[in-house]
Amino acid sequence: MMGPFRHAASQAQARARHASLLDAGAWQALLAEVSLEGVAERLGRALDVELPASPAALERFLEQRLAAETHAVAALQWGAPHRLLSAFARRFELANLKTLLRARHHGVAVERCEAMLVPLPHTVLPWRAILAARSVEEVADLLAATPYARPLRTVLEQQGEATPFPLEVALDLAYLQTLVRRVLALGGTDGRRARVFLGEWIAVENLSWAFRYRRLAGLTPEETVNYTLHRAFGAGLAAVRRVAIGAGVAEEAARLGYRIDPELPEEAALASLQRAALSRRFAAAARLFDRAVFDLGAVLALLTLRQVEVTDLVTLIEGLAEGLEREAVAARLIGPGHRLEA
Amino acid sequence: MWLPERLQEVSLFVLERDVEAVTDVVLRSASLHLEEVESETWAPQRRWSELAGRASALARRARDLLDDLALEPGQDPDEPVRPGRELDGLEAELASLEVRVAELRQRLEAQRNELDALELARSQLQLLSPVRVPVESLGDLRHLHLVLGTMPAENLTRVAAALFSIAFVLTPVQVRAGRALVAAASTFEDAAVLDRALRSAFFEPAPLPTDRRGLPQQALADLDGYVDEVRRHGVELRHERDRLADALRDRLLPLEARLRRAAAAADAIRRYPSRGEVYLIAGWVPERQLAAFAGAVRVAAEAPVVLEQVPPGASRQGVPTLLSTPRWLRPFTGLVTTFGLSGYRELDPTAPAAITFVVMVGMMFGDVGHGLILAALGGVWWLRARSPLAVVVVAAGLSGTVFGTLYGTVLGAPRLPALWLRPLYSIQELLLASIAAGVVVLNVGFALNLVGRARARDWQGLLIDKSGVAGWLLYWTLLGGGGLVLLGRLPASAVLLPAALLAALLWLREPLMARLARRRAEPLGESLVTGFFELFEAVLGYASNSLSFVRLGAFAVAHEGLSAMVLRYGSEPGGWFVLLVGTALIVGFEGMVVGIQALRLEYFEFFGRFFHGDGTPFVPISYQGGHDARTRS
Repeated sequence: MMGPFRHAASQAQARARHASLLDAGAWQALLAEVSLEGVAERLGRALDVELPASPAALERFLEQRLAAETHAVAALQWGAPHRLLSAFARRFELANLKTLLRARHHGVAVERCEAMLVPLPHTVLPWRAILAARSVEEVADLLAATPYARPLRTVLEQQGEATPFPLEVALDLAYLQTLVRRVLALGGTDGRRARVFLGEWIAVENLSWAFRYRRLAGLTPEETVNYTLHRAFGAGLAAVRRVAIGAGVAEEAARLGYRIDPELPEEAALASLQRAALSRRFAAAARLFDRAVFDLGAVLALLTLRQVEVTDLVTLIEGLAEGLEREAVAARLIGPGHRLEA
Repeated sequence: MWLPERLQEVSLFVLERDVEAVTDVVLRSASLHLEEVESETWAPQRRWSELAGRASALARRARDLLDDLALEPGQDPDEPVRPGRELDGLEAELASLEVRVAELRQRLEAQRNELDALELARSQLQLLSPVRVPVESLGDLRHLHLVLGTMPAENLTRVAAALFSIAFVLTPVQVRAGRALVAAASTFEDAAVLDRALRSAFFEPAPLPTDRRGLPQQALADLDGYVDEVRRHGVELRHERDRLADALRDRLLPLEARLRRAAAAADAIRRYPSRGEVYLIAGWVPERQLAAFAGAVRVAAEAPVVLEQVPPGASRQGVPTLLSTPRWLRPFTGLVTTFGLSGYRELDPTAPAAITFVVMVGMMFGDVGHGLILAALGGVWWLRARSPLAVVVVAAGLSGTVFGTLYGTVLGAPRLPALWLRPLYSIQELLLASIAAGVVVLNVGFALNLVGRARARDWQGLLIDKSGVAGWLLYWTLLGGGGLVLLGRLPASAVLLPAALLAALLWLREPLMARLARRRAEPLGESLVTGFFELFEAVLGYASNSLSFVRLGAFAVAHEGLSAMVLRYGSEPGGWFVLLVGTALIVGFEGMVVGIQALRLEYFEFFGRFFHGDGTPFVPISYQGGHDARTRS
């Protein structure tokens, strides 16, 4: 009954929000700024808020804004698209939770830990109580009614008060498995769009996990396969097995249609793959908004464009903080600021 | 209706000895939106952060006790809570109750664990029942590595996939509460690979039931008798738990309620900055509640409380918004909040948005029959779910009915005399009327922008802006003057000159304003280029915004055409199916499209003139609202 009206509202919302993305002019002005204060001020004027001129605070603000936008667009969907977008919006919560588990493990003070979290006004997790929890077991109890409890308990049952690594692996895996199921639950055009915008992201994430588990964590093939997704839109079980027994980044990236320099070291190659994947999704999102699209694609494209905007702003902020040249920063951008003259 | 509730910025300077009593009043009143102020000299006290964490943990322990005793939470206490003073006492009381419950809790848990272990052993024995080997000898296998245990059921296929490099057997026996009992085996050479794969699939080994004796079938029969005995013991334990709950109810329920409140109070206090003995409770209170709020605070405190109240100045940022939408208009707030929440100094556009949305939908969906169906569906929805959106649907349906009367159409047929026009036969007239409606909506937008700018004392925006006075005059010069030139009532020069002057004013806005405000201007070349493109976009916007409303007429024409076609094919023999599906499509699908179009016109053409929608919601701290600002939206 309310479906058509919600659909109407969500389409209108996506288009209205699309208009608030920073355009080439705004990027040109941002790139012309020589200091972080200038960027914060100009960005604050564009967004009509007062922004702090510290890289960490700015980045947290941008993440918070992205989270709020994801939540807002999810709220207007219904049925399978709503379930998908709600799950997608949970990635910010998940990131906070992982930060918190890591901070607990390293004995970071509650106040400092709280300051590291991205404020998420729309989540219902009892952050204060989680911060004050005496054990991971208690954290799992506090999260009882959420999708995070089960993976945490699974690890705790096996390993007791575990180190953050298995906890994070279990949380990540459960999260992306849910997301994969929700993408697969969508049929028709909505399903195709979800595969383009979320499926490709999931595929690259899965490959990155496999490479990092193999190299950085030194896991054996059977562990690598167990800690990764087996269905991941072109980078599932077969890809993970190949990685587990020694395939290279360029080789696997080529199977997904990305050209990565085979001479690059593995970490750089992975970064290059993630950048290429985001660029491809950005191009798809921009193309979609050039046409009159009235399906989930408009919403997913909006979120992709906003994600690129946030990624680019973070690149700009970090670039300024590290004293990079304008041209170097512009060359690293993906969105409208890419290769603009400062 | 047009403006949010007036708020006052309040700063309460409270002595430490009164901070808990005052906090209790503040949380009970649920009328203060707390502002977290921090400076070099005013900072929150670490002690309260620790107390808040401790109180939260104690409240949780008390809730666990309620769960252990299968009790529901009790009523909130009337007397104020003092977490700083009471927490030790409350903790001692909680600890004494925990001691009373602990032994029973342990016995209950032990009984549950024993039952689980027995069930597990039972399943293992069932798995082994075809084997003609005594259970006690299974631990002595020479060539086979055999493990039994549980793992998340969804990981079964994963672990099988992970074991791609060895030969193995993996047999699931049963699934219980999401965990599968499995038996896995490989050769001794591959034991390490099997164990790693199982471990990384979160496998929890369960030792082989070698404490049982005899063949599996016989051991199973012995076990069943023992399981019944353990179950009977569980029933007795639960009776004992109910008796203990009755005995402790009068102590535990008030204690849990006090701890819950203490946690909320401590969490509020940890966010107050303090300096020495003085705490600063700063935030926003609705003006109409301020007298009662201040009175209650003064009564609660023993020492005099300094209460500073300041109405928010024009330049004050971050004032939260508490909408004061009349009851009848509330169902329509979603039309606005979907776009954004109005800022404190912004006009709340719910009323014009509701009117224009309903009228625009009605104009595009004008048909007595379809309108009444839509209204009836909205009515049913309201009766079933009481959803505010149902009211919007009813209003849209009734508006469609009114326009249907003006067009004279009932379910696509001209069954009534048209009081205004028939869309299919007066297309030009209808399209012109649509543009006229658009001009009216845009001008309401201009007017609201002027009022909003004046309220914000943004004189620059009021006078020289594409949606300010200069923009409005340019719009009318181009639209009205242009029309008169086309009709031959005015020479072109009479329009071009004022239009050029106004355009120049908008073009040079940035350098002019910089000079007037005596601030450093952007480089002139950059200002001129930016200004030119902004002017170009504004002029293009005036035309496109007005013409955008043509869709009102176009959709009305399409609606009548589509309805007539459904009626035409539906009136043929056996055409009832076409009629039914066609009408459902028109009401459902077209209703959706019309909704999109109306919202699009609202958000782009109307709101774009005056509305920012970047307000912060007013969220008062309260006992009901939880204890974490981040958890409330």
